[in-house]
Amino acid sequence: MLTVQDLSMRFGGLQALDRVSFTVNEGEIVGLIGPNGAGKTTVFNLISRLYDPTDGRISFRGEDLLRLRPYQIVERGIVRTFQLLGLFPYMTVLENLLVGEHRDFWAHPIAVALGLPRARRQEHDRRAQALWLLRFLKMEALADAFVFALPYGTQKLIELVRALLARPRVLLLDEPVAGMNAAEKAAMREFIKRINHDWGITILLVEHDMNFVMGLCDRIIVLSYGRVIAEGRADEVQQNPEVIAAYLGEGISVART
Amino acid sequence: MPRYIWLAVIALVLIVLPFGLKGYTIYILSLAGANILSAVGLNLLMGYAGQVSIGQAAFLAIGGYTSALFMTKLGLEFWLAFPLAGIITGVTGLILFIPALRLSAIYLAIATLGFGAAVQQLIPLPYWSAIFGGHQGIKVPRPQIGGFVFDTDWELYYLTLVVVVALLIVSWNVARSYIGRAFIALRDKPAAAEALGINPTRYKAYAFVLSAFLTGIAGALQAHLVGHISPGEFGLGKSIEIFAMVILGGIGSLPGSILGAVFLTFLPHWLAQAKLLYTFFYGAALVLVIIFMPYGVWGFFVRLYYRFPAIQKLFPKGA
Ligand SMILES: Nc1ncnc2c1ncn2[C@@H]1O[C@H](COP(=O)(O)OP(=O)(O)OP(=O)(O)O)[C@@H](O)[C@H]1O
Ligand SMILES: [Mg+2]
Repeated sequence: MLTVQDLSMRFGGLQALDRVSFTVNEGEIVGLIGPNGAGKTTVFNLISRLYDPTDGRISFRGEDLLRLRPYQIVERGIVRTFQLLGLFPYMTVLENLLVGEHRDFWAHPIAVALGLPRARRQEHDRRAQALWLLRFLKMEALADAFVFALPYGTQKLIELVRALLARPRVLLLDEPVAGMNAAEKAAMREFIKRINHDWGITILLVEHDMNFVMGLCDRIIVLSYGRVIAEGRADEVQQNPEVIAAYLGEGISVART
Repeated sequence: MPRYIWLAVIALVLIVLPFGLKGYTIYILSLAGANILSAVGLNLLMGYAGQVSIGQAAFLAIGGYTSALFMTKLGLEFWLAFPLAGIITGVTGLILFIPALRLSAIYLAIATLGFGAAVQQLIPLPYWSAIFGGHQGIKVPRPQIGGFVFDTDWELYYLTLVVVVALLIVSWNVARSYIGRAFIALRDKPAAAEALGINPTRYKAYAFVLSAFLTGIAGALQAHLVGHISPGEFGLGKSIEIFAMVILGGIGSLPGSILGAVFLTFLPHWLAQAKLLYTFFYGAALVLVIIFMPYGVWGFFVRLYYRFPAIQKLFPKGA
């Protein structure tokens, strides 16, 4: 579904990615792991077209993504979240969610300016949709809260909810449980499973919490210094000596942490 | 709904206002109306979309001359020339938008400054003084709709009131819509905004066109109110005045821009006798606001509102 082929990215003298190739199949939950600075976020930034790769190809459902502009990516069904939060801090939660629905606003600017009924109806419907999802998640009390005042974990969750409102086929999640406590992480794991299973959304996620990754992902890709050093099921990756040396560390059994 | 009660009260006050005031005060009030449109226009561009402009006076000039010349040289009716002035100024907003695509905030500010200076320098050139009237400028006809001529202060006031209220509703509609949210999103987190499908080129263009349109109408309004237009009115000082109205009222707040515009329109007339005092108060007010009210006068009110429950009872949320 999503295919990355021989992707390289160079920042000045730094080779951030070196001929990275992998595929994400429809319906999978795939983990992308690796030590700090391995290039995980760079992979996301390239898929979302923030940068042009130095070399390589990215395609989604047969279409060459490198021919698209960043704002066109979401129209194909690829939606991402950001490692350091992509929420708009001076908007309320509801307003953030409405930006998530941006691609469903088609009223002409003139109709908006004149306050024509179709523009009002559209605004009303989109608000209803966002509020419905908030209520479904038992978060409706947060609708009018300003984002910057909320705890980090809540913000991470809201960014995920906003991404869902953009109607993704594939979700790219950059460290979705960073800054969360154990209970929040468990809830997030269940939520991601449901998004994947019940709503049929494919997931590619970056996360440092190995318990979280191993318990959730169907398949794991390990990056180190910009190269893919291993790929496979959780148990396979955990046994891989190169992965242990590069990332998991000698003697640290993941099952125990 | 308490909100509608408050709106009705404000409407009533604005309608009966001229009955208790001197003609000259009514005239200044109308000029304040034009300034409100300029301030709101700049606030949408700068406060919402994050695009700094210090050349807004150029749009005032373009709007003013367009409406005047379309009436006098092309013989168009006021009701046609006036909106066309806004539309044509909106189109020139697109010209200013082209550098905005590539320039960072500070360079954009310089580019708009240059644009403002260029327009002010070009108008009085001798080549077209037959049209623009050189430094002396030209007479601007009174607004006329059908057989009715708006020539008294209070007739002009009501015309201004209708235009300003209508365009404030337009601005409000845009600011609260997906377009206003796209402006803010691109301002605060451009990468996240784009990742959600917001086309930055398109929305920057909207912001520039809307801002230029509103300022063009303000310029046309001012020209018809004054009855005369000349390039001297549209210098850097005027651009900075509009800028100050936005900062004073609160960047990113439309009600704040209204307050800022009204206040800075009246201030020089209150202090008309003492020119030096005016400059002093003007500067002092700005400095005080920036130090004590970093979110402008409106932002200060909003904070008071949340600080004191008594005020919240008086003005229920949403009012
Ligand atoms: N825009 C950029 N300009 C220059 N260097 C960059 C840029 N983005 C990333 N890098 C560098 O590329 C390398 C990979 O960064 P990246 O953010 O992809 O790592 P990561 O795997 O996401 O790490 P972490 O787990 O810490 O988030 C790092 O050395 C980083 O400093
Ligand atoms: Mg990262």
